[in-house]
Formats: sequence, structure tokens, C-alpha cells
Amino acid sequence: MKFLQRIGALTFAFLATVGRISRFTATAFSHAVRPPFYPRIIGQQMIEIGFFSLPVVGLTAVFAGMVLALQSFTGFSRFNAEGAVANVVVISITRELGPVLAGLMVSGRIGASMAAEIGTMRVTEQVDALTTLSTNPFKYLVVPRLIAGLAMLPLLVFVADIIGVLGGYLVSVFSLGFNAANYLQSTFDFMEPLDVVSGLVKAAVFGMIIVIMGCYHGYHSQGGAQGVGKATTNAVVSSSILILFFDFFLTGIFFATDG
Amino acid sequence: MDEPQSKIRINEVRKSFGTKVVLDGLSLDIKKGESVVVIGGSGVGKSVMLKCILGLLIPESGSIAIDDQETVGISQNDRDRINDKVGMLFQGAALFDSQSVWENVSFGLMTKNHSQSEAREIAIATLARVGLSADIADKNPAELSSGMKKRVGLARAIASNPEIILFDEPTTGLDPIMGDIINDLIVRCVAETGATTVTITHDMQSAHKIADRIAMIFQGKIIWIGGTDEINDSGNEYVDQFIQGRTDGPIQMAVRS
Repeated sequence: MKFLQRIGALTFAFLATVGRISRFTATAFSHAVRPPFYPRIIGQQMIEIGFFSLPVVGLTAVFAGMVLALQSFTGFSRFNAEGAVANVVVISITRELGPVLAGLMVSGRIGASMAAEIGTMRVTEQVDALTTLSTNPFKYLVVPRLIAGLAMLPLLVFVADIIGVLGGYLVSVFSLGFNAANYLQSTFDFMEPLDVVSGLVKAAVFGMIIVIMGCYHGYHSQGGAQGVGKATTNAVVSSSILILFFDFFLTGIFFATDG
Repeated sequence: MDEPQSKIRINEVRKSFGTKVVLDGLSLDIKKGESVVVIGGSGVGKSVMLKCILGLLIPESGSIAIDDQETVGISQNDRDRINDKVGMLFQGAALFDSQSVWENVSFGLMTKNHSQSEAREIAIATLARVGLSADIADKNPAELSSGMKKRVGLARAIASNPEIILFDEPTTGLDPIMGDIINDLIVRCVAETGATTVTITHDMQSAHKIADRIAMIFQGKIIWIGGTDEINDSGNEYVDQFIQGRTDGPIQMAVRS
């Protein structure tokens, strides 16, 4: 009986958390369309999320593209299908690896820092101080990050797509002996607009997830340094899981009927 | 029109967290221009009372009126208008880490359409009022000592010349000399602005220096209120025990063995 009670309690706790996060998200979006707006902070966050994440996302993408080319060459050469390497690289990078790897890397870099920053502001009463200065903390702290996340993740993923495909190209041409022109021709012939667009839509959703999880856990952190540490961990873990869940969900929507 | 008699009127306010009742029908009337210091042990609800006045916490019942306007249950816009009248010095100063000292001081001004150069000028003038030079205006709060942080926090609280200033343990964590400097600054700033102030503190020296009246909270209620010259002869055994710092008496602190 105790086991069933525990299952029930966990289920209710989970549903309550889902409800709180949903309300937090709805509040963030409702504030995003009402003034006042803070363009300077939005700009700062765009630079923080977009520009400063470029090195880590670029490195991840180039190595992912290189490994993908090597592994698919090894596999396809068993069936004399080496020509499909370019196709596999471009479709894998644009549809999946670009958005998912960029999302996970940005989650670790930005989600954690948002949770830590807002969490520290919460436990040191800086969030309360904003309210006493007639500034809505939601508008000041959450909305600029949300707008920046929604705008910058697709841009980051677009760059990651290019760098990832370039990584595959470098390995294929300089290590596996592919003809450069044929490889590029094959890449562009096989790639469809939906491959890229679906990846960019995923990126926007992942951007929202990263920001909401970082801000939610930071905003509700309590109990000093330990609470901030816990908020940071929760932000990264929950956003990583949600990124993988929504990747599956969105892939189903985009490509369920794709032959 | 006559000035309202009370600047802040707290009536029968109740606030609890789970099963723990923190404010249990607390009432307190603060007149315009008056400086009231609220004393009491740790965890008796002093900070919760301040947060209820600021709208950071919503009481379960009771009324808090500022200038005769009810503040419990009002809209966010009305709350923002009320908070425009209020300045607050937090216990740890609560300066924004990501902003320079002058940006902290002028934060409330910049959200009210002051230009950046105008806000900086006002910030530097306000820093001078709390005895800080313009040299620190561009420093980061992390570079300041505790005493300087308190002064910057005080400058931020008075920068927009609020009608009400709330002080949350202004001298806690400071050495006695710096504590007294902060007390003097508070007295001077309040005299200059004519603001109504509510201060919560454990520091009796600070209370004597700042207050017109002292109130004591115990078990979520005001159990005594009177002038600073009356507190030593209050005739209240709780007040006597608290101001004398005795362990024996009606106030039993929860102490773990």
C-alpha cells in the first residue's frame, strides 16, 4: 500500500510541477507582448546566447560532421554504398544533430548560467529589490532571455548546420578520397528545404525550453548557495531531457508520413 | 484636502507558511513623517511584515493601507504606483551584481524616463548624500566593503525621494562604528526628505537613535509600542527581557542542545 501511495504522491508532484512550469511559460509569453520592453537587455542576451555560444556549438558541429562521415563511410563501404555518405551527413546534421547538439551544448552553457544568475538574485533579494523599484522581475529577467533564446537558437543551428556539413566534407575529401565537386553536388541535390526548416523550428523550441527551464529553476530557487546549485543542476537536466523528448515529438510531426 | 492621518495602516494582518503562523492579526499605525522601529527576536515575522507592506507577500487576511489606499489585492499597476512612493534598504543591500554602482543607485530613475546622463548625475549627487565619492560610481558592487554596500543601498533607497523608506536590519553585519555611521546617515536622510520610515532591527542602539516610536513583535502580534524614552520603563516583561538580552523570562527561544 505504501508503494502505491508513493507512486500516487510522485504522480501528483510531477503533475503539479508540469502545471507550475506551464503557468510560468504562459506568464512569460503574456509579458513578452506587453510593454515595457528592455531592448538593451534583449541585445545583451542575444550576444550572450548567440555570439558567445558560437565556439562551443561550432566545435561540436564540426566534430559531429567529421565523425558522421567516418562512421557512415565505414558502414556503407560494406555494401558498396559509399556514395551515400554526403546524403547521410547532410540529412543527419540538418534534421537532428545540428539542433540537438546545439540545444544540449547551449543548455549546459546558457541554461546553467541563467539558473545560477537568477537563483543568486533570488536568494540575495535582488529579485525583491526589482519589485520595490517598480520593475516587474518577469519582464526584466525572463522575457529578454526568452526573446533572445527564441531568436538566437535557430541562427546558431543554421551556422552549426553549415559547419557540420563542412566537417563531413573535410573528412570525406581529404581523408576518404571523395571528389570535392561530386561531394558538394551530392549534398545539395539530396538536401530538401524541409530538412533545414525542421531543424530551425526545433532550434526555436529548444531555445524556449532552455530559457524557461533556466529561468524557472533560478526564479524558484531558495536556501542559499545549495539551493542555487540545485537549481542549476535541475535546469540543465530538465532542459536536456525535454530537448530529447521534443526532438522525438517534433520529428514525428515533421516526418511521420515522410517516405 | 486634509493629509491622511496614517501613512501606513496595518490592520489585523495574518500570514502563515504551511502550518506556521507568522503574522497573527498584526496591527500597526504609522503616521506621516514618523520613524517607527520594529524590534523582535529572529523568526517572529519582522521581515514578513515588511514584505507584506511592499506587496512581495500577500497576507491571507487583514488590511494594509498606504495613504488610506488599500494595498492588499490591488492590481500590479496600482502596486507599481504605490511602490513608486517607497524606497527599501535590504539587509544585504541587494545590489544588482551585473550593474555598476551608479546604475544601481539610479535604477528606479532610469525606468521613469530619465536620460542616462541625467540619471548618472543624480546617482553621483545621491552617493555624495551618503558620504561616498564619485570615484566609486563606475565600480562593481562586488568591489565594495559591506559598509559601502549598505551606503549604496541607502543611496538607491533615497534616490527617487520616496515618501516612505523601509529599512531591513540596516546595521546587521557591520562593526559598531560603521553601524553608527549608517544610523547617522539614516537619521540625516530621513530629516532631509521628511520620509516616513519603518525599520526592523535587533540593534537597540540603532533603535534608540533612529526611532520616534519603538514597537515589539512577539508571536505575530505587536505586543508593545511606545516612545524611545518609554522603552526602558515599558512595564512589559517581554520587552524588558528582549532589550536586556536575558535568557530567563517569558520569551523562550528554541535552542537545540
